[in-house]
Amino acid sequence: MFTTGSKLFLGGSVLAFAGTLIYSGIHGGPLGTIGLVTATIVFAFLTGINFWVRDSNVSSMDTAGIESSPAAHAAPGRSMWPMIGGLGLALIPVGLVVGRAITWLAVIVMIIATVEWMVQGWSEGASSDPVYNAGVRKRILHPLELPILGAVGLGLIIFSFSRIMLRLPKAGGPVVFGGIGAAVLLFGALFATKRNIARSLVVTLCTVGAVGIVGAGVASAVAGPRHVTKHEIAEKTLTVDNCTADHTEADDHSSRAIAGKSNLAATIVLENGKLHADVIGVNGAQQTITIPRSNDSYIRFQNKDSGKVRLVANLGYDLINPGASNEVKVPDVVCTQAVTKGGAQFLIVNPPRPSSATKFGAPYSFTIPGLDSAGSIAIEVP
Amino acid sequence: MAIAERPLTPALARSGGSALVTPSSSLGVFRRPVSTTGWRSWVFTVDHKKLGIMYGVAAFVFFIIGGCEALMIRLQLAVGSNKILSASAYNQMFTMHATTMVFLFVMPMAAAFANYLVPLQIGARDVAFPRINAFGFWCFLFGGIFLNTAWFLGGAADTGWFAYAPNTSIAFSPSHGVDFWSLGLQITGIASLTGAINLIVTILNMRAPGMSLMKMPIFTWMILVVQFLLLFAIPVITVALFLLTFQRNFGAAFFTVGKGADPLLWQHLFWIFGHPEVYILILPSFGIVSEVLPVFARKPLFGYKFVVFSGAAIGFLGWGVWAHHMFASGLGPISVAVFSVSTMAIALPTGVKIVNWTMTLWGGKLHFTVAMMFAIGLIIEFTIGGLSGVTHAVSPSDTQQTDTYYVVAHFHYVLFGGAVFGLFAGFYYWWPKVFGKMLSERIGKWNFWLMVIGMNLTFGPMHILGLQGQPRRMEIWTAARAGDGFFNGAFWNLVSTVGSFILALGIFMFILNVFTTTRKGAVAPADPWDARSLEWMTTSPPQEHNFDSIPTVHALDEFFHRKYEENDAGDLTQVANYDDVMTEIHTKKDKHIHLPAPSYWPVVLAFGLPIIAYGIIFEHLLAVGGAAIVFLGAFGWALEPSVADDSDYDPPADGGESTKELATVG
Amino acid sequence: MTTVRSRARKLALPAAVIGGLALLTGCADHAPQNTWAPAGENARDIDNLQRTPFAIAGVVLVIVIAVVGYCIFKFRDKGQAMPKQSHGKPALEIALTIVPALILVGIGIPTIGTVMKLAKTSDTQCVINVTGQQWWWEYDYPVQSGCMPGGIKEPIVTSGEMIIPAGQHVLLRISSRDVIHSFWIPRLNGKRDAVPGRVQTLRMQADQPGIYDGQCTEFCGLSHAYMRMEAVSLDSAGFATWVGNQLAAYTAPAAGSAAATGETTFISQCSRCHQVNGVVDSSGNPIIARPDLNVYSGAAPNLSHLMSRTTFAGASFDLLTPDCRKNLRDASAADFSALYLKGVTPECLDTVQLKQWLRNAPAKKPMYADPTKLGPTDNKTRGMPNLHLTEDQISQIVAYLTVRH
Repeated sequence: MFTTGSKLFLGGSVLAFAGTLIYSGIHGGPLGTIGLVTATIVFAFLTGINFWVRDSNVSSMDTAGIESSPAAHAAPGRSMWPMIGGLGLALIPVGLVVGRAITWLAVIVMIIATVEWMVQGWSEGASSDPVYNAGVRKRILHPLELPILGAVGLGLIIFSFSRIMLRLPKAGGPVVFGGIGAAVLLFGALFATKRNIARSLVVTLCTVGAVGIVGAGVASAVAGPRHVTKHEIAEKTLTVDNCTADHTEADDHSSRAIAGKSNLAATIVLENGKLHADVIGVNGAQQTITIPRSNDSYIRFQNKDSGKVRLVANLGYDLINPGASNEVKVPDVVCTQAVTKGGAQFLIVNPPRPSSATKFGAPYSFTIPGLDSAGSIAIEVP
Repeated sequence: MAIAERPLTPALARSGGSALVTPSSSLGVFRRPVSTTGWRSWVFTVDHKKLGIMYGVAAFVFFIIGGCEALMIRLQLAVGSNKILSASAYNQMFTMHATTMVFLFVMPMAAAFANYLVPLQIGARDVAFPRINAFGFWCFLFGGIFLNTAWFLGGAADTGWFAYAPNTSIAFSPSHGVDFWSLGLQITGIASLTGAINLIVTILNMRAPGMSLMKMPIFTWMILVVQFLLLFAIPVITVALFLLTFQRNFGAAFFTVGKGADPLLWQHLFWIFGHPEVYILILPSFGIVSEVLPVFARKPLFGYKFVVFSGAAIGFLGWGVWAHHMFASGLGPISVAVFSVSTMAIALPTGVKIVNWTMTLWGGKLHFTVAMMFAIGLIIEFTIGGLSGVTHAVSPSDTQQTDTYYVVAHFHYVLFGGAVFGLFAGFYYWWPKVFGKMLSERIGKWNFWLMVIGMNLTFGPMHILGLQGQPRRMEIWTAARAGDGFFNGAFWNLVSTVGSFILALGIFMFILNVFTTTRKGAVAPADPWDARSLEWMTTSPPQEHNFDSIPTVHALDEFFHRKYEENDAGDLTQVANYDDVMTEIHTKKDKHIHLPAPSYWPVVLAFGLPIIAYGIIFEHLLAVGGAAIVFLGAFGWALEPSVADDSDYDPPADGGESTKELATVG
Repeated sequence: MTTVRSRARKLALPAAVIGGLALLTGCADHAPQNTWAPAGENARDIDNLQRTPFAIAGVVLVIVIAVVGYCIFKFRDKGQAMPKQSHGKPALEIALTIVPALILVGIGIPTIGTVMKLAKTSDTQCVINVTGQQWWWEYDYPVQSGCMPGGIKEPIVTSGEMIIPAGQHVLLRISSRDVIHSFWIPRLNGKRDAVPGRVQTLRMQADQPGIYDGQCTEFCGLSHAYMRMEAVSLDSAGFATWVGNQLAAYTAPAAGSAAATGETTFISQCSRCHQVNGVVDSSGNPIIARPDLNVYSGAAPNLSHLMSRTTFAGASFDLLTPDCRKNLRDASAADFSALYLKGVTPECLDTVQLKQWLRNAPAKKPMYADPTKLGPTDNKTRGMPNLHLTEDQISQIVAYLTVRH
């Protein structure tokens, strides 16, 4: 059962292990223990490998067989793994200088090369039949190679595709997405129905498609994603300076998403220079809206006038150190980004105190900074 | 471990040397499993029949667990403001009752029937992917056990089987119950998905010669429709559960309202799965009943094609009605109206089935065996459930009924009166086929009548309770809101509880029946019911290779047509019996029967999955260990030849003229 | 024969259940959540719509049972010859598909009409914001010109009992602070889910003054069964009185009275979460409760006018003694508004439940308030915790609450 080589290494493992026990029992120095433990592990590992590959010499148990066995005499086949392994080894110092990513790449390359090399070496001596030996290599490595290559390939295509979609302008994205989808469907249907289509044609088309996507993906990645404007839901800010008339940019389109529209408590509209509110379930334009306390209310601000304006919700202020001499008022203000004509944005308001709490800056209101003539919408909080 | 196949003789011959170096002694540490007896023959089996039986036994155990949970619920609700269960325990109880019954009883029990019967009904020797079949079973079993270990590890899920977001967030359900629930169902989902692919391939590719799709037994047809439903529904719920797992365990915000999520996303995902799921649960039973009724009415299924097409129509329409579970969710009037109409439309193909079953009885020669009684019971009880379903399709009316006991009544008539009665009809009908023993008809009648009375007493009053405004999922009801007079909630709640215990007694009768007949029951005749389809054209229980020779099919109800022929006057006369038919099959018997060999890997691979799941919940390092098992299992599986080498058997099979079956027995 | 007859009897039972329900449930008893006893136009629209399908369902069931019963009786094996192996009659199949299809069209058209009618908001006369949270309902009345002559000038907030003006088309704007709840007053309308982040509308109208019970019907966690609500319909004068009462200025209890001691205790023990409008601290500053710092949903019931309501803790427990409760519930439509507006008078106050509640709230209604287990909720409770009050403190708080009319 045990081959010569594995016996040797097994003996080494046992010796190293015994040495570890004895050494740690007598001296117990950390460096020596670590060294001996490492030796034990290395020997055990080598034992395992040797045991697994039978010393790379299936006939080691059968000395007579050496004379007559083609497996024992057959010259090893060609192999690219020594070269790739060497490349990996060479990359390690490069990685140490240039950066960690290359080191990792080098380690991965070396692991791949080692595994492939080992299995190839073992399989070439597995029997006297080269066809069988090639088959045995495939049997062992394909379950590893195929999923990994598949995942890498698929990941490459998906990643490239995502770079393309990020690069394309927002309007073009759906067109390209639909186009690629339609092409895949078309060719899929073609391949499925035309059973006698030339295999080389299928391979060529798939390769061209894959290379095209990956190439476009690389180009897009180099060019960088398109300019993405800020998210439309305003961040709550604690300084009034952030909610002045200064213009910032935001993406109008996303406010029209269905998910946003279904969640509204009210829409506040700037129309003909005046603000008014449309409240779900309440008929007619309103100048006062009532929103619950301590709950997010989704407000949509729509600008029907020209110019870029923003809506600000003034929700009083918080008091830090109330009553003390160093009492500080921190304004509780929420605002949208600037909205151009025809645009709309969301605002989430969540007043923690009722509007009767005048001490904290109530009454609350929506206003447009820099446009006092638009009036205001009163916010009542019960 | 049988890593690689040995060189075959011709390959060796090429080497020409006298001292061959063969790797047979140098490869591998383990031998692959070849036992045909003992526990190994079950744990490592890939035989669809053994897997079918294991599916059935495991599902029945879960049925008992889910039934006990139901009894706890009914005990708690027997009287108002009861204190038997705490609110927390009650919430866990109804969540796990539904989850167990749906995912761990009805679905796997249908899988049990499908696994066992589909290859037999289509004249195949096994399913297309036997090891995947075994893998599916172990996923189901380990997933189910994993799910139930939550009871001992901090409490089971307490959010209802529908698990509406955001109530499933950690803030609202802080125990690990929901984690167990979402991960457990992902694991059992693998079973359903692999099973679906397996059975679709089997049915489409492995039918006996001559069996066109329209000559296929109706049960197999319904199973085919169900597998397509599973194939498309399971990925949806898996995505939803995956999102939920990430929401709870990895800080994702798919359902966090404060970060802009819409909680209705979960409801859409859940019900796009959830409504087809209803048909996944009911269609196998429809198939069983459509097999049982013709046999005991002595005439073919009325309108076979209509039943097939209505089943397929249900399969399609079932995808367009999910939002009727959400009529109160605030979808807007247009959506509500559309889904209202589509829900009414699905009543039509369902009604077609009722008509066809009834017309199958019409003009027949009815034998009231227990299987037949359950089948007729299904027609009536399912009709009640179906009709109360139509009242839900009227969406304004549904806004009064949804989430009340009226809905509970409705779907228990559909799922208990429909699905479970169908399964029991199947138990009694196919028991002699599977186990070679007859179940007692006498105890069976007790079983049937107690179940009929019990279920109507349990679920019938729930119609009243629901229409009187008693909501579901409430740990207590109060006397103040129970009303008085004939329809008072207190009385009918008590009736319902009493009914549930009668029902339990009925199911106990089945268990009793199994035990007594197994111990000293009569050995079943080979064709006890004068049956009609292919699965009876073999021994009972069938040999491992199912058929000595694959019969050529000429007609729907092939077996029946081999036994009976019309004479010149147009009267039906018996021209052959079981033995005659079998003799014909046996004389053509195949020499080399290729059967898949048992394997360790399906069970090893499946075993890794709950370990990953425990790891995700408790300690991520454990998940790495589980992943290693899964990886090793997959690797070993990929290396393993699908057929064991002759020398793996002890003593080795000698190849040559012997059949594979002989080798296995050796 | 016996089997056949008993089977027929057995099958008649479910027939009686469904068929009988259509005729009987509406007129049999006093179940406060009866879905067949509409008390407003919206519930009536539903009721009118649902009776036909129920009746049709009953008839179809009877037909199916009759046919199956006939087959069982007529075609059982009496030694007759093997039946003809016929595979069906397509004409019959198609006919039996078309007939139910026509019936369903007949049900479908009025269904769509009613769906649209129940979604209408243009005839709204009064708007109420309804907000669900674990495990109670808050109602706030926005500033508006509707609801009563002259409109509502300042927002009102209340909980448990929703007051609506009888006869008016009230529109509820329903939302939630935490999980999904469902608002359901069966005798006034079907249910509508309260979805966090969304505002959904539900029409509400009651013909007569009176109390209409409801229950949260979307499973919302531990104490779902205790999340109840009542819609109280008042005549128009009564509603105006109620609004006036809710907006009345706060009057501090007379110094030295038990209620005055109670006020101090209340401020120290309860005001962190529970707002009483107008209450001030010793230096005259208004005390603003911050439930959002203590409770996960961010809200706790406003107790300014607790004794104007008849229940507490999510309408789960009565403030009224059983006799007073019965009197109120049995009052005629004409007398009801006046009786309700009297509020909880001292002789009607059931202090037993209230004191149990103050002693240990989570023992009375299941809640997540164990201080050692609040990690997932940022140390905020879900529901009211046990405050470990002394008996004296409880009596003082009860004395204070008793005058919150």
